[in-house]
Amino acid sequence: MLKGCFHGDVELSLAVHPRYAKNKKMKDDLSLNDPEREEFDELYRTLSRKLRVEHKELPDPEVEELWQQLISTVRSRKKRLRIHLLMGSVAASVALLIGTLFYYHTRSGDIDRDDILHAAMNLNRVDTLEQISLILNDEKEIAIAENNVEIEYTEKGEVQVNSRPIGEKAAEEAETLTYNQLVVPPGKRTLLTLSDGSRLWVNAGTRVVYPAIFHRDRREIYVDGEVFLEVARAEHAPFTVRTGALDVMVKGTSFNILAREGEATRSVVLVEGMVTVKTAHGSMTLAPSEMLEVKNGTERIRKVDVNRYILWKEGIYLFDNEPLHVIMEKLSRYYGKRIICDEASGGLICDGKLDLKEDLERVLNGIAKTAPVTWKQSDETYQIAIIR
Amino acid sequence: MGNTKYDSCSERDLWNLVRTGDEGAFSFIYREQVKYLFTYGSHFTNDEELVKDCIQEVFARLFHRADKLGETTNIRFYLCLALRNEIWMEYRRRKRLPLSAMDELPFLANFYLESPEEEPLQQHLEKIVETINLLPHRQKEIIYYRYIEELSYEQICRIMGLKYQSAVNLVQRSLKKIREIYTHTFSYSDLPLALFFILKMHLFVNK
Repeated sequence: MLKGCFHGDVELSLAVHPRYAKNKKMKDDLSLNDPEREEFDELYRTLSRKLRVEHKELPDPEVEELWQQLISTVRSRKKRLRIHLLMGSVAASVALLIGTLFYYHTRSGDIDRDDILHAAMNLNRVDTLEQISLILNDEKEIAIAENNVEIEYTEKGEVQVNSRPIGEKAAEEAETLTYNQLVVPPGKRTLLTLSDGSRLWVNAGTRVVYPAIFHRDRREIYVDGEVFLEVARAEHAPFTVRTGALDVMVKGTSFNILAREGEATRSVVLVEGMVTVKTAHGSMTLAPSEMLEVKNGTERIRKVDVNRYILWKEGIYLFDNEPLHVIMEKLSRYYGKRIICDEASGGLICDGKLDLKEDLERVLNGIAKTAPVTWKQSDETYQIAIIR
Repeated sequence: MGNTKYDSCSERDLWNLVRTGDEGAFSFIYREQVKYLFTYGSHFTNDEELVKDCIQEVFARLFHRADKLGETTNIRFYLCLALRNEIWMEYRRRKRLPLSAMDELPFLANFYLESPEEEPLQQHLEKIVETINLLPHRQKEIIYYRYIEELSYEQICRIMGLKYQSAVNLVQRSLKKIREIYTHTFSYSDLPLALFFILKMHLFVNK
């Protein structure tokens, strides 16, 4: 239906029907002898004259900003986009990242530093995939059918999947960095080892962009989703994780970062070492066991039980005082299944631990045994309801 | 925008310039339409960034696929169609909804009356508006196109991706709902008034 609208056969006359014509039509249609007719006509006319709809307006200065942003993006994206369209992909998310890019330009003014964001923007986000997907710089895409795979880059930038070389060169012999992309769909997880030896546990529903071989004096990756990182120590090459909303700068340390585009809450949890987090409001340094949470523009640092935030990588999910609907959202992403709670069950506050290595139905059975809820599956959706 | 070259163009000619890759015309259309598109897109979501991103994507595609565009004499309508589709795709992607779940796209904007009338007319009008605001999203949307944007039936079908008969059914459902709520809230003596209003709406939208 609407999908092909850009093939363009829209050929309609101007939208506006002159209002008097409407009223005339109304009169013609109403051949009644109603004594109160005049009054009704007035009601109708008044309504159609006065009915308004609440609306937001784009402030004038933003028009120019958006235009500049658009034109620089379309120029740099020209070649690549064609390929994506041929692949039949909507590439809507590319636009999603435009905002991110602009944000960094205005904030840092350091164009060189934006390499990784450029790369992240230019790479197509393909998160409707069902399989883990590794996209190499030459647009070669490798789909991996298994779950919990290990992907490793050697120092020379060669790629191994579960210790087997895949026979693809991930990096060209070139001056410029070449970026690779790993997309882990809902229901899958991956352990990724980068060329410097840093390890990333990549959770379900996450996209990571990184160079096949790091720069000599700095290491940068881009994350949209959730990863746990163990950064290999390298004094002269600081490691930065960039996301749409915050950057985390480290030397050698391990921490969890949750920053998904389009979600309100983003967090960084430090396990050991030290990191500096840069947000729109400034920089702050975290100590071990501290969590920075950014939610609706406010930032808060507090001590946490780190296990709660990193046990997902072992397939365990710890929670306390969390409403069931939040838990179900996480399960939904983890297993790649749609789960819906009714209002009453979604509000139940739960403490506990779930072993996610089991399949979803066993996990749901476990929940149903301890909480007053039942579940049923219809079509592709799991429905959770309270027992009354 | 003070650009007389494009100001004096007809919509068809302006569009044809975009189709030949004229960046000036592209820029002119962008600046002329972006505010309207933002307002339109914001009816579907409170996420302003999402609306802006979708607008950018629509124009980016326009830019890259200029040579493949068809003709149009109504640029704004063309862009609204594309934007609504883009927002829907993005919304669906984020919520992980199936393609068939069109009904779940919100239409958030509320209707109101521009300035007060004398009583009791004002009271009647307010009741009707209140009733309209309680309608399901698709029904509110169709009323928006019909009464605020004054689109033709053909255009409504096109923008909402409906067949003619489905659009008619949708309107009839809206009217039935208005009637139900309205007759519940008004006293018996007001009833003929309410029914009459609905009858009129009916005749109007069916034409």
